[in-house]
Amino acid sequence: MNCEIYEKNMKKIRNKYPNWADFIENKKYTTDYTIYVESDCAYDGSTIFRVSHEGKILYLNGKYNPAYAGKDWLKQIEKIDDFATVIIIGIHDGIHIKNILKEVKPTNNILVYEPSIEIFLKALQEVDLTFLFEENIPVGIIVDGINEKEMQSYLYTMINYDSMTMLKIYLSDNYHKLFPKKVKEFVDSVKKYAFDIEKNWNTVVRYTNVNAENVFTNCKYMYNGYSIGSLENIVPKDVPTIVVSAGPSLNRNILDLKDAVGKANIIATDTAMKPLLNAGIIPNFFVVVDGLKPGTLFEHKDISKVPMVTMNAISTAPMKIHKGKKFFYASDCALENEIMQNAYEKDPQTVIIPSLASGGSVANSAFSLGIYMGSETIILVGQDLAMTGNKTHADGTFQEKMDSIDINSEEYFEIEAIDGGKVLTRLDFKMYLEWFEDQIKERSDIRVIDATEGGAKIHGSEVMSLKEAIRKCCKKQFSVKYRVSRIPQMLGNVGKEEILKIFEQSPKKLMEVHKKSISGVHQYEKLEKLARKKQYTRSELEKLIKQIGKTNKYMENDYMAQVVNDSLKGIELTMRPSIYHTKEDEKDEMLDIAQNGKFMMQAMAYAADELMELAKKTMVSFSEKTRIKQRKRESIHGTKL
Amino acid sequence: MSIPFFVKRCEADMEEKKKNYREAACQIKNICDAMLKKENYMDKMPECITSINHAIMSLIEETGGDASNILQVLEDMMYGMSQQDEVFLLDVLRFGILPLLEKG
Repeated sequence: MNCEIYEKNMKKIRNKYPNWADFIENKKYTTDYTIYVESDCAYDGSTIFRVSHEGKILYLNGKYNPAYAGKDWLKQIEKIDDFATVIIIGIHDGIHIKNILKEVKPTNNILVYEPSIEIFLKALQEVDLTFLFEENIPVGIIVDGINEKEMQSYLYTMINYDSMTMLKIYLSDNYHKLFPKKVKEFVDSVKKYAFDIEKNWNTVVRYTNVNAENVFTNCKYMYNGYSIGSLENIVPKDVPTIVVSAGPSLNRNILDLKDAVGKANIIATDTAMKPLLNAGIIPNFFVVVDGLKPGTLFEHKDISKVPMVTMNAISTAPMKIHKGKKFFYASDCALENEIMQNAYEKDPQTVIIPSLASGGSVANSAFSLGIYMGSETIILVGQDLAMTGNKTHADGTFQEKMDSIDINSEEYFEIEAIDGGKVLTRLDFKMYLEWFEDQIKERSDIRVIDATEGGAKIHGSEVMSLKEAIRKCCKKQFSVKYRVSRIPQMLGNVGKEEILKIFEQSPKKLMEVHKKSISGVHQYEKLEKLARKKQYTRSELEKLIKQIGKTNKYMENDYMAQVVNDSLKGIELTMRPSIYHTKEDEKDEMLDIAQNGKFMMQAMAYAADELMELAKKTMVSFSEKTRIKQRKRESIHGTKL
Repeated sequence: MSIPFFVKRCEADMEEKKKNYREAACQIKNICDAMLKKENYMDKMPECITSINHAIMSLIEETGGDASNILQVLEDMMYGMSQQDEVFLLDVLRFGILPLLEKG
């Protein structure tokens, strides 16, 4: 060991990551004794490493020209975009990292992953890695065996929708041979993360066109609505939550649920409601998440008997058809946030609206709700996540008798079934399945029982029949219905007054957004003219940029501007990745910015105009009707007095 | 005056040696390219080794006996091949053997 180098490295680590220093110095790590790391001297005098593992003895760098490490990769990728994230797998002698760092800018994020703590510890003893632990450099480091649990946090900080198309990954030589499993797991995590980002954006865009209409039409239900915030821990830990989904297997065991009524918290997905109500089973809640679900799913005489767990962005039909209690969860909508913030400021008794964790399916949301309400056991029913019996859903949901799928379609593929065999599924079901499996791994305090009696295997869950699950877990009488009946509305009188004021001023706010957008168009047109001119002064440009900055700040911070912007997500999706591809010439850059900016502002102005009519038909109309009712009530009381 | 036979013979020998060096260098570059592109290079190795052998013999002759650095390179090449260590082998070929041939 080179004591001087080791001390130098440890001093830097102590400064930047004191927990790491303590961890390393007190040997709190576990090493794999099958991995043997030796240092060797290259012909230029620098230190390189050779690793023995699982019968292989491999060098991590060459002996003749170790300084060349990483340069082949840099030649191959040609360019690292200014805002790209660069992921480097393998630290060892650090030479490749230094070569890559020479080619990046302060705007790049660098994530370094070392799958072997043995290599990392040896490197600390033999090579100067202090450059990695300097303050104020955008380098994140994950060493398996020290801080691998921080991986998701680093991915979250360093990769987003804008940067993921520019992502670059460098794999240190021979790491894929020495640590194939860990390298694959890491790369898979990164891929999954990028896929999740894309999926979320695609979801947002899919619902863009209906989002504004749904929000404007539905937010009136907040007036007499409830918040899921009032449901937190109202169920004792030993009362299980049964999540009832509409998979094909539901037809098999739906009637067994009758034995659980009054002894469990039964939460249904929207699609499972009709089969349940037709079987005479009234669940405690049903959850809706979809902005496009048809009203036919909710057409049943008993639908209003069951409290609905909903949000502003869901389709308007179910909200209209259902006349019962509505419990809101956060829809990440600026208008909703403005209403609740104003209400809370004026009246701290207002119950805020929390968000509900989900993997994309309504069953995922129902699962999260069950845990939020306090259950430590979740029983899944009808959770096939597969085409059991060659059907997508139970009979009695979308149709009385569901059609069979075309099993030859490329859309379907096989996965492990609950009985160990194979069953067909599709990509979206697989995503939801993986979410459940991740949740089961993360929440080791929650017992998850799969009582579907069919479908795909959910790894980590206990498999048993619904009858057995009810016999084992539903032992205590508990009336969720009684507890729910005692919950107050989320807005008091003061909060309700605030919501009416916001509704009444919505056309005025939209007009304001429209005017600001038109100003923005003019500002970008001026920028365009400036870009085409041969000469302009710095002060001319600075003055214009200041004005544009002010307009953009308004668009980012004003709640109604955000609502209008949210209705344009499809355009934003197309434009965003190109924003970070910088041009060579300043004038070309200015022209690009001006044209993109003008286009966005024109779209904002147009959208604000469209939404004004909608606001008058929905929010303003509701406010007017409510005021009339209030005046009538006051006049009655006045007469009575 | 005609060129003496032994001078012609020397020139021919030199040409032959340069041809061997070029041939070996070309083979090595092909192998290195295949390794960098993660393509199969093993089927090209036997021919490459034969070329390297011819070239190395000429190099050793030229050194007049002091072939320790050449032997070291050969040893490293054999090590890289026996361990199937492409990192090590690529470095030896590109920065160990190739410079020797290009200097020759």
